[in-house]
Amino acid sequence: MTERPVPRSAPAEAATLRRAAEAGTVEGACAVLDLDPDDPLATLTDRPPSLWRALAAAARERGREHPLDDERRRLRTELEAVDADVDDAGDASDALAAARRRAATAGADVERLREQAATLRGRLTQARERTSADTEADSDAAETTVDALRAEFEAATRALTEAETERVAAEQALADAVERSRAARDARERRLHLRDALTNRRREIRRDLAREVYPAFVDAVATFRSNAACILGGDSATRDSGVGDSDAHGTASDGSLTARPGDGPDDFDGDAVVAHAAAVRIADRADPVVVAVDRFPSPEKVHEWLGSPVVFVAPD
Amino acid sequence: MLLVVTYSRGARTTLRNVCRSHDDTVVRRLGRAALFAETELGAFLACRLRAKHGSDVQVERTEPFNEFAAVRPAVREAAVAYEDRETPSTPYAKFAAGDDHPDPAAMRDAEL
Repeated sequence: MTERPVPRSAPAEAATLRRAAEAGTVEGACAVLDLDPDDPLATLTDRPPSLWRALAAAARERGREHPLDDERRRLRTELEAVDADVDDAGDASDALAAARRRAATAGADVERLREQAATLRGRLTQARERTSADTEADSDAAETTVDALRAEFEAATRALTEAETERVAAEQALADAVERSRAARDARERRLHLRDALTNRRREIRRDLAREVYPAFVDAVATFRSNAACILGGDSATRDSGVGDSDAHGTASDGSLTARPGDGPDDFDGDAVVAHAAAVRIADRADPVVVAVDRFPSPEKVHEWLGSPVVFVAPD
Repeated sequence: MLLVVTYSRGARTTLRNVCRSHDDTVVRRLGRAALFAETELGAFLACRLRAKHGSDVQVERTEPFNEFAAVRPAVREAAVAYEDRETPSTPYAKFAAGDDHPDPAAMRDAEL
């Protein structure tokens, strides 16, 4: 893993920083400064990102590269292509559902008409038997009944034939829709595999990059500790020593500042906000940082310590 | 049974949650797929997944495979004979040609 010179963007002007501070919220300030609120180094809040993410981002900011970067880029390119395939195939679920519904209706129609035709056939047969057994006086009326039943039976038979034709067509249409959706699913399956692979690769890279800058991070935390008194200021320092502060992301306690850092991000169990600030410091950003935690007393001190332009907004 | 296969992370997560809370209806979990019991509840769960994730969910209705009913004897006998072959390295196509078993290409085109 190598470090390459990073093109630094032009530092934000004082007026822009002032406008960002006036926006008053993290989102607002990020919008003014054209920062990505999801960038783990762009903001300092009471909800810090995972240390792995922050450290890996800091390593990137310092120009670190990783041997798996090429593979990660390849996976991303492939994923974009497959994404396009999936989009081209469209969402076939509605068409498929419509085809299933049509096939089900057609099948039910055939069953219903088949039963109806069978019933009419039975009644027609009975009527015919009665006609031949009847006396001559009744035969006219009986023959009228037979004729009516025969007409009804023939109509039912025609309807059944039509329904059977529709069922064949509906089943064919369903089979075609299933076939089409199979091809679309191949693309979706491939996309899922690529996404998983990309996520795994990114995690590995993040892990390595974070480990690499961990010593620098530990130093930054130590600097924070030695500067703690002036950085935290009288107000925060008093509160830090107070008891009963149960807020998980509350303030940097003495314990967190003296916590042993261990060998990697997994071992770090100090204050998460301080850790996040230390990650921002080692990133050596040219871009501004939006600070929404009230533990830092003055913008100047924080600016000095973080080494980046700083915009203060009220905590959420 | 109802075979439910998922094709996205969201659908996979929903399936995982469904499996976790309905283990009496989930007959088998297979990664991003699962077999549901062929009950109204199984159908309800499958329909829910379909309603939520559309094209990212595939539902098939399965039935037990009876090789004595669905397959002609030559095919299943060829399978048994091949698994019993003396040289494990022989590919089936060669094995079939030498011993008058069904040809793989012919079997590929013959629907059950």
